[in-house]
Amino acid sequence: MVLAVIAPALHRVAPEHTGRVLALAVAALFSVFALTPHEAAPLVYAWAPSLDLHVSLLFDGLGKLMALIVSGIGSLILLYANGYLHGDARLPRLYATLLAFMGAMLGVVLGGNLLFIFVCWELTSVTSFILIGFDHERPAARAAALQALLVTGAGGLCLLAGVILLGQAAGSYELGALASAPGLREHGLYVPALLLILAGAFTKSAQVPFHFWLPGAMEAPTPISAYLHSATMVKAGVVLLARLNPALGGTELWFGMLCGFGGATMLLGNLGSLLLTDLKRVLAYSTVGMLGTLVLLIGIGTQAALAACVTMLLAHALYKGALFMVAGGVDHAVHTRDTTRLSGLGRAMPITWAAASMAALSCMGVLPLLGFIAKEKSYVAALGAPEFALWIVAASLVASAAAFAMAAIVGVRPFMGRPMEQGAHAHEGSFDLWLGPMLLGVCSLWLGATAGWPMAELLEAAAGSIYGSEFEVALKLWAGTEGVYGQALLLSGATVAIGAFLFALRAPLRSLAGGLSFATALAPQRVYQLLYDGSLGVAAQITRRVQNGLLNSYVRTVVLTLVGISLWSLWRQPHLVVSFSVGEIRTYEIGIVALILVSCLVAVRSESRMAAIVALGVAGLGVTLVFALFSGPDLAMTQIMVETLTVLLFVLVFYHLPQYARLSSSFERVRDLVVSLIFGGLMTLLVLAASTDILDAPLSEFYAQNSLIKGHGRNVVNVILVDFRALDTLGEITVLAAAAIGVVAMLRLKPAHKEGA
Amino acid sequence: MNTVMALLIGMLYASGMYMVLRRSMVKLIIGLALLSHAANLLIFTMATLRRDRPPLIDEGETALAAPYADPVPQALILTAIVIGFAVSAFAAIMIYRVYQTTGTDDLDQLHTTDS
Amino acid sequence: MNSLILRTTTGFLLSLLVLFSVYLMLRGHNAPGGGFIGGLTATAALTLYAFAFDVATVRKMLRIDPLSVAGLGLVLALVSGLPGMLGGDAFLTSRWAVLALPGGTEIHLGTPLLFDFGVYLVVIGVGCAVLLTMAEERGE
Repeated sequence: MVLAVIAPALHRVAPEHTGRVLALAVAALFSVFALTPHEAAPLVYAWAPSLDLHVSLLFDGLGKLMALIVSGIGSLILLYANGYLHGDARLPRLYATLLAFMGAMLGVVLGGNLLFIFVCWELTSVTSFILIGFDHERPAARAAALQALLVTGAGGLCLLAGVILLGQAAGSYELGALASAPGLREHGLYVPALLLILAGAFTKSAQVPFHFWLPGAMEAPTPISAYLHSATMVKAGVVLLARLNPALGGTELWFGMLCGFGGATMLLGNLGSLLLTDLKRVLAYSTVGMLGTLVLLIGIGTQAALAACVTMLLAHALYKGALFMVAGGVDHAVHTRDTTRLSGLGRAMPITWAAASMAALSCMGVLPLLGFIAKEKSYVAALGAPEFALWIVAASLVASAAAFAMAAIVGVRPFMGRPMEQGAHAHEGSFDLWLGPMLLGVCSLWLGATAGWPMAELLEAAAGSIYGSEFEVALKLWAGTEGVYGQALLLSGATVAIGAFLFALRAPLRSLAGGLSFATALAPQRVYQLLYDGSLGVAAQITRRVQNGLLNSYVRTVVLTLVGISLWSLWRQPHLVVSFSVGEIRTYEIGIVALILVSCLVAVRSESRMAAIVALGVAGLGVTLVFALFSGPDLAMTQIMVETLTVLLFVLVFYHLPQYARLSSSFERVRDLVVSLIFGGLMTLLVLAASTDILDAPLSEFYAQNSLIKGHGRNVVNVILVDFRALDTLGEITVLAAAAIGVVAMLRLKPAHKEGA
Repeated sequence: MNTVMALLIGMLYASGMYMVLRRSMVKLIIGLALLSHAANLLIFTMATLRRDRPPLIDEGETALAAPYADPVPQALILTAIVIGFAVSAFAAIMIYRVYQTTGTDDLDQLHTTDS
Repeated sequence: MNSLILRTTTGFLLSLLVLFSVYLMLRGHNAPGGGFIGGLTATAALTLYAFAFDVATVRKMLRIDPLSVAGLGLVLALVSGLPGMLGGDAFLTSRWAVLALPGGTEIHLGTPLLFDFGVYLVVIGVGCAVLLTMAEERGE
């Protein structure tokens, strides 16, 4: 469990070791997860208790399932990356970010506190930005990474707002407390919170209309796409929704939003995948479709639907991870990912072929693979949907059929038929390259044939944690033909038929529908581009207008704004008392004030720098006298020492600086004079208005009483500085030291040509 | 005395601000120093001016006898003075370096070196 | 500045002033003074010395770089916070020990004293680093 948290730290050792060692380490993590029994109670570590922010880890069924997927596929991916990018100098960086990402992702799936989940969520966004932009020398990769970051980042902001609203409404950020919070669904903040959280989850999980970033993210090298975009990151949104289902689910709005968007995404993704020819993009669109299905299933929210959801989650992670890796292997072997050109690779790459077939068959939902069980379950769920069952069934049918065809195109077609031209050089990849897909494929087969053993119990627990309470999930390969199961079986048959039909028609479909539906599918992309360019333009305009580079105008703007705001708030004070009372005043005090005034004017008016410095010093002495007269001996002593040193320093510095010159026009002088006088007037007014005792008397009283007793000192000012508020003083002397370092650095580090001067 | 001090503080602020608004960097520094005097006096005056009641506990007593000059703002100002020195030093030397590098002390000419 | 009078007097003054600054620092807890004031006084003394002789002499006299002095001060201030923390209180909570000397006088020794000494060193280090480095600039 603790290993999950230190996973990011692991990357420090990464550069020296190969992917295989890392893969073993992560596999060890995987087995730790596998052997730890899941439990519903969260482990809580206080982080910032005052914000109700705890690091609570929830290792329940869902958490364990996702942790297994993340770490299991993660270890295979590390191995795969080792083979795929063999000898690449950037490999250590890839490992490091992959591991950091894995750690963050584990945080998301295991987190039991919404704020903690959010932090990890953002971490996954950032690390995935680095990963997608891995080929940072290519502009396309940079643009795709930026796009993914902006979309998921914007979603993340929505999510944060939603989470905070939710926390306000429920009074806690703990998932357990949220689920049992009474009256949450009737709370006024429920709707806005839900909508904002959905926006966050939908952007992350690439739901329509935010789906466009995911295919774009295929710019990343295949190991990354396989990991981020099949098994893990895009599932973060789904996991979040699943986590929140007990707390937020069960309302009309929840059902409508999730089913609507999920369904639309499911159709668009799966059908869209048929229209493309790039292997990875095809897979990406199919992933979008699958995410839609998962969201739809959570939206339906019945026991059957949630059982289908977790099964589908696992099945998809297994076969899509394998297919991505196969795609990478094929690309590696023949240097093309165009599905219309790939053919007949089966003979040259038998192991990859076997892995691909298993994964593809699972994706198609063919007996006896896990995908079949998942598909059956989702049909049962669709049939049992409380509303719109018919529509959902129809949409699922179309989507599954499209998935069938897609799997055929990706997983079967390239290996059949006549060997292609480049096929001559085709060869099986290294051990690292085929082990991953092979293992995942075997898993699909095994879990299907044994009806989920040994995972069945875990899936049950996972579905239970989404539902809110445990229930039985009957994971059977052959569920029989009665009732809904019969109908589901029938639908499966239809799926195969329609899927085969779609597969046969793929070429005409592409040319026919290509132009048309591409325009619609890419529309959100265009909106994104417009928004992006637009905001850049506006920002540039504002910058040109505001940042004119003239200190004078900055200061003037700030000062006038400040004066305006202060006067306005003073004006609105109901009990504003401006007391003009000369009161008791002594002659020498007037003398001191006059001294300060005169020296201050001299400092301003003087044409000579030295005179100005001296006048400044005299003003400082005047201030010292004020401190001394009005019971501030420490202040007076400090002031006089500082004044001495300041004058000294200024003399040293100004010695090197040019004489005064008349730089401003008379108009500017008058304008600045007016601004300054207004500012000074405001400050006078403030002092007069505030001269009644506004400072917190009890505070001073505490120091006055306790200085000797607790602080062992008679000089209260000093006791405050070094004892009661020592931390502040520590901060201050740190600043002093930093300033000194800055000064020395500025003076010592000269441009090259001045060296030796 | 309060009123007199208020006027003095206003005057200090006004002259400091005027100097900050000048184009010469040297004047900018003098302005900053004046502003820091003004701010210190502002805090000092707001905490009520008292003559001859320093916040020192007399021999034989265990607590400050009221009325006393408020020690809290004094502690604030003390650190402010020292920090003010560091800020002045930093600013002065930065300007010196800028002048060395660019050959001008006119702030308005510096905006071309911003990118 | 090559003044014989200044040089002669500064020689005496320096030790006197530095001694005085330590006195100011130590008495700060009970009377006007303290680390800031003491440190500034010592800085002024050292700067005066630098004007009377030259910067190199002062640097040689300090033996270690002024910035290191400041760093040492920071470390001392930090360390003074540890006893309180080890005792289970917040960082920088003061700890006192009362030393009874023969003759009835008591000396209160506590972590704030160490803290104030840290402040003293930081102020000296910072002041000297700034002024001495700038003064060296003059020679160019």
